[in-house]
Amino acid sequence: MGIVKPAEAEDTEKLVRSSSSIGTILNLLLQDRRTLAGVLSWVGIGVLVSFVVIAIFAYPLAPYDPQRIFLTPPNQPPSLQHLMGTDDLGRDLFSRMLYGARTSLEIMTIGVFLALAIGFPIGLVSGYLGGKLDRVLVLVMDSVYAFPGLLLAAMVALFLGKGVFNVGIAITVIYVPTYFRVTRNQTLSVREETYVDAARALGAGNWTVIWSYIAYNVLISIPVVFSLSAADAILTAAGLSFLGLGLERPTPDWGLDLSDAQKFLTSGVWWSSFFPGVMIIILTVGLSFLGEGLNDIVNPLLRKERA
Amino acid sequence: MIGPDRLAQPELGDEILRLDNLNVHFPVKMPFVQRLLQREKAVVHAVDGVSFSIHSGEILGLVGESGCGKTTVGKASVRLLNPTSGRIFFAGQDISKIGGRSLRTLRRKMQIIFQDPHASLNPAMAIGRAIGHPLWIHGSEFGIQNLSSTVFRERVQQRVLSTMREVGLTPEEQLYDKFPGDLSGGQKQRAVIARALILEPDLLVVDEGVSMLDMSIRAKVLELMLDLKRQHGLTYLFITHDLATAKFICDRLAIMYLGRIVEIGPARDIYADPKHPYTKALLQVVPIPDPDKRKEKVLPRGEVPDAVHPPAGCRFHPRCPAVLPSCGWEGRDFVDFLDEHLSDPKRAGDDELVLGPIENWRTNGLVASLEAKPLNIEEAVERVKAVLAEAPIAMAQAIESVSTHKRTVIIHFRPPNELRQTQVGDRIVECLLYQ
Amino acid sequence: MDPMLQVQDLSVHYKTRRGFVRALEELRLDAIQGETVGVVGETGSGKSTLGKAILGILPAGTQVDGKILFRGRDLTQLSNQMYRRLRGEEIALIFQDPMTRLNPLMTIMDHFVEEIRDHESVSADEARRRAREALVSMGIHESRIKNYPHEFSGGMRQRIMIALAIVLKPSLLIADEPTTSLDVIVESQILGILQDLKRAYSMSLLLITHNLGIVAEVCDRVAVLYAGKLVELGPVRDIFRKPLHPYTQGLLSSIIHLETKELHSIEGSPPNMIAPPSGCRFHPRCPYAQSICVERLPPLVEFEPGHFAACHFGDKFL
Repeated sequence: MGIVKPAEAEDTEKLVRSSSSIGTILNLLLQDRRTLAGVLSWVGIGVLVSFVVIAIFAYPLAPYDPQRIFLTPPNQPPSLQHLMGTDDLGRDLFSRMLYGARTSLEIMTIGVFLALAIGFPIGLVSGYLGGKLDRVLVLVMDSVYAFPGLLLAAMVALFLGKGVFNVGIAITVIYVPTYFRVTRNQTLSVREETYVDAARALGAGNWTVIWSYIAYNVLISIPVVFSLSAADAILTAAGLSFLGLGLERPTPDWGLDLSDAQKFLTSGVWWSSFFPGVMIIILTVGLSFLGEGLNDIVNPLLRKERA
Repeated sequence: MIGPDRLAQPELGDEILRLDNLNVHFPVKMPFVQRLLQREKAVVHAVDGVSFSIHSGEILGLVGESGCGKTTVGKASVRLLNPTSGRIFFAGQDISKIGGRSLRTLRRKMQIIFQDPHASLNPAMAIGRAIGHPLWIHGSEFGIQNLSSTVFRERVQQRVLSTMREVGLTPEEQLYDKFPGDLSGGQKQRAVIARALILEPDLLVVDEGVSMLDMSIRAKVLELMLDLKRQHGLTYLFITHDLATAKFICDRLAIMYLGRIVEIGPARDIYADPKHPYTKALLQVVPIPDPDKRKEKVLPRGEVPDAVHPPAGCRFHPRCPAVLPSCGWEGRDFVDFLDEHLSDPKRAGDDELVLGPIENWRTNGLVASLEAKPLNIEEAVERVKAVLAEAPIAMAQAIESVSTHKRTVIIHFRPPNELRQTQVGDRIVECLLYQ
Repeated sequence: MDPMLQVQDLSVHYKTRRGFVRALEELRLDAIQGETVGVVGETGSGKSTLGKAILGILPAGTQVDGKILFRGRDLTQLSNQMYRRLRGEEIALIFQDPMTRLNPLMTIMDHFVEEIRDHESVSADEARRRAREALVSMGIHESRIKNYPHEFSGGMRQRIMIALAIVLKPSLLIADEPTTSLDVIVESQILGILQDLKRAYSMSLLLITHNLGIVAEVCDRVAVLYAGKLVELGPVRDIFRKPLHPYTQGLLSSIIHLETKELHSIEGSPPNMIAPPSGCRFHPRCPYAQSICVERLPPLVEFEPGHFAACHFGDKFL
């Protein structure tokens, strides 16, 4: 027994006609665009989109080839010809930053998407079926999760060797447990919902229940984790490169460039450390904004539906 | 709209559902170490030996308070829960242990409607798709090889639209694409009914189907259920705590208390002349919407006890206003009474000094005992007798002896009479008053 | 006798994701000392908002217009600090779910001591003594006073919440669906307790519910709300015997009780609180609606002494 529930007011025009989770979230973002959470989310989306654009259009946008060595003295401060100056090998920093976005996003995309593609289905199945399989998986995932991320990534990177793809895999390994956990936890609570019981009563088999009744309702909590883990992934990748792991030297990468530029700081060469650092910070903070903003917007919805 | 015809007895068709001594016990959640240390397995006796049958075209009401096990019976009947023991028969077939594919096929014939319409629909599925989903799930059983064929899709859509019309979920074309969040409570429940009906089941278990709806629209949904029953020849197991609704809609009635059925028989007769004291109590508390008919009520004491350690004998005995000495009194009852007695400073006086704090008392079945070490044992015995003088007469008379053994005061209860289901007129009652 | 509580033209609006919700519109209501007023409504009626408005616990950003006079003081003008003193001491609220009031990490004794010492400067011992007294009067064993809320059953928790609410002997108790989640027998017990308390402390009780059955049993006067507006107000007998507003009539006829021979319901669905119907908000569902009902909001008229209704045709039902 319980109090009679208030009827939902008739829906105001949905700006996006879509039933999918993405559609729901987009609707919420548009409706809430003036709240703090909404502003944060849109700023985050803006940052992400900008960096994607930069990465894709690095070639036309960059004034010079990122590997080109200028024969002027190295470590030139920012000027009209070199907007961000040059590094210790005489390469234009601005072009390297633009191409660095490509590198970072490639790593992030491989790492995080792959982690999602592995962690999400396993989390669903494990959470729904439970039993021994679940116990074993939780043990495995928790062990990986307990490992310090950067250390684990470093080990995997060392093992696999250098290259963008390998670094991506290293990132995947660290984040699979995160996706697994979040998915599994959501699955555990969605599994107890009455409509799942109703689905079984209709005669739906396990796979139908997982696919049609649980997956969509769990999916809505993923974008938050996605954004936050992407932010973390950027930092981890930068950290790996900083440590000299994972990427070959001439590859334009923020972490790598930051690492190389350190020793010149004391000589007053600030631009070759500053700009890579700033790029990392902006992208990471932008993704964090998106994640936090989405969290505020999406989670109250989740709570309401569960009430 | 007039209710079902009450003058004629419903034609008793074939037996659709039969429960034979059904038991459903759940393990109690407890920390691992505690589980190791317990002497006997602690289980929640949600359903403890329930038997009844429902015939085609009947509406059997299952009435009781929360915790009595009625929802568990409902879920077990459609095999959403597994019986711990006992058997369930559907149309003569033993379905207690079937699983997998044969269970899923069986599901087409029996459906369940849950209490909360807001929680019964998948928020991510549009109404039209949700209602038609059972047809997709069982598609292969209809001989459809290719589920994605346009012919099949169209047929499903047509079925869904006509079912929506039938349950009053109109305008059906508009509502087809809406999501549960866009519908009102009454509309949601209709969608749930439509979904349950689309496979044309024989048995429908309705678990509090209207309790969460506004009163002003409850009637519409009840009418709908009665109309559907007539048109499709459905049989209902109607689970509710609301005796007024049950009276209107049910042919037969079973009253449940703490996992057992205490009275079962034709609804009209039970309301006219309730036999079991619990039935009488329930009927007494049904509110009468007439301010001039306020009356004094004799309510059972206390609350429904926990189902892990149900009272001995008749489970209702600690609360029953008509209790007898033979109903199942045991050590626990004395300690509970003493606890209550000691809590009231006016009645207790210095009893606590003589008898010790309540934590010192131990119970074991028919015996309640007290280690009287620091106390004066003769005084303790006398005080126990004095306390018993204020106890309910039935309990006092159920005590065989108050004695001492070494330094322990022992109160020994007489074993209760065996409780049996007795035929009283046209119904069955489980009560010692009638044995 | 001057009414203890006077609600005058109370309007409560708040902003939601989907739009501006007009939960209450120009509500008037009053209660004198010692009486029980039932506030009846269904989905969208705004009845829960009323209780929260009186207690000043509406969510931030809610717009409140009108006056709530308690013993002559306008509560809408009260500062937060003054409201905090008022709550518990003079006005108390009990909810449907006791766990919204009870802190799972505090023992029952802690709850009482905190409540008492928040309002009065007494010693811890004195507070404990009064706590014990209150609990025993509710039928709760003293031995359980150190237990945590989750160790009690639903009915017991409700009693504890009631005991907490009355420990400071407030003059007005607002009960928002106090028995909806309880079983019928426990519900009867709790109602009995509320009535005893009312008599013992001559409290006024504002009983907010959708259950007309319990209204008939315990209330002296009844206010019926629909779509945020008061549609009828009067002594309980008049409301049940001679309902003047078609909504009240529909509601009464849709009650299912032991003598029900026919089922009745009210056509249509609950109102949209963001864009409520024009004129009389009940007109889309009213069997007697005329064009005037669509155009003009009916005023609240006293058709009989003490019996008010907001219907253009109320006198036809006298």
